[in-house]
Amino acid sequence: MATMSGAWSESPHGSSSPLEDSEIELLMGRVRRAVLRSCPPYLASQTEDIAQEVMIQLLRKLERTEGKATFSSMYLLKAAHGAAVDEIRRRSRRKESPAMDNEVELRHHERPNPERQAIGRSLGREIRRCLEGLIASRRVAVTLHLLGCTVPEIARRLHCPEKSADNRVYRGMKNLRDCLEARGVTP
Amino acid sequence: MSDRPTDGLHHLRDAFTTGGWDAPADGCPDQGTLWDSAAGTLDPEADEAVLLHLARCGACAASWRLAHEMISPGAAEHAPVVPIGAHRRRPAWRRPALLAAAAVVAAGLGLTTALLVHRGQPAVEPVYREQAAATTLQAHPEALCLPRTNCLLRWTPGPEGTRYDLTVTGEDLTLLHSRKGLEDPQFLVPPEVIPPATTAILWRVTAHLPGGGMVASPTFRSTLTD
Repeated sequence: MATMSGAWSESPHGSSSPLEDSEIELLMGRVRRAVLRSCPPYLASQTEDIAQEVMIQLLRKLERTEGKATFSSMYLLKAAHGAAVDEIRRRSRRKESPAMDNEVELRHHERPNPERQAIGRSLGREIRRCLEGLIASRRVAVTLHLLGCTVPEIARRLHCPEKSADNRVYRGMKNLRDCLEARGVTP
Repeated sequence: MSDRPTDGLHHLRDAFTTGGWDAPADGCPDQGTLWDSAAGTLDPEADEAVLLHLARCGACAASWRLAHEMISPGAAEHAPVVPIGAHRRRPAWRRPALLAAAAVVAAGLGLTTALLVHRGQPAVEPVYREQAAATTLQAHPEALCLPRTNCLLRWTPGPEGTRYDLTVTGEDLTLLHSRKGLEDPQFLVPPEVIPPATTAILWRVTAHLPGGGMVASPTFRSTLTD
């Protein structure tokens, strides 16, 4: 696949791209990094492809405006997010039912390990069950913690002092681990 | 406080989100709402409703996490590196003059107490969050001389959950092969990518640590034997 900057400096119809090359590179870097850190492990090797597909979708969308609008960086990120979610879901479905898609020949390392997937899904379900048993303030704090938020960020979001957020996360995580252990689940 | 039980946190986080790339169910917030929540632009009540929903919905949690990563990439790794427990924020309502006076008195008392209590005890090393500095990547000794048809590159593993990017070039720096997202600290270079005239390869590994940090190895040279 061609590099984004080369492929999109000119549109297929000859009009210039709605974004500068540098903007495309910056945006793509962010998409690539976010996808790598968030996608299922068996899609990690496809990070580049996913990021390029997202950028293609995004630029097609922008080209439809024919230069009649300007876009904030937040708008572009939001649009890229929607495209990335769709692309990851599409590829996840494809991986889980390879027999239904003859166009795709999965290499060995890209095949999801069914056992690991099952364990991961089972653990995910158990985590959610255990979270249901937490008091709401701890449940929200632990959810944010599991989503990758730092304690200062959790404090800002919950409008509470950092110490309080830290406390909720710590006690909530302990509750969660105790619950998982009681259910016979070892993370 | 929340930093103490880090064992398996990465595993929990992955299980909570990355296994949940299913289609959203009826009643799930739309993508725009999830984005606004991750960006922190929802009003507090709506945001709490979304967060409570995330606690029970893997599909939305995965989407929210991706949005969060896009909005504030590597937020965790850019957090200031401070000893655990040293990041407490001062309450804003305190007057500076009163605070300064209290700090002087407290520091004096604290210093005196510390000198009395800890005299003669060995110094305790502070514990830092940063794990990247503690992780170094070295080539396995056996990977420095390899058969051409079984060119298995191996290196020291990072913490559990680390993923690796590998770049392999010839000695003239021509790219021979690259892989991203490797889960194991080893990789068998396909023999067909190594030109027959090549007698040595250069390779380099970048480790993406579970905490979000990144460590790059030096460039290693492996001699190839027939």
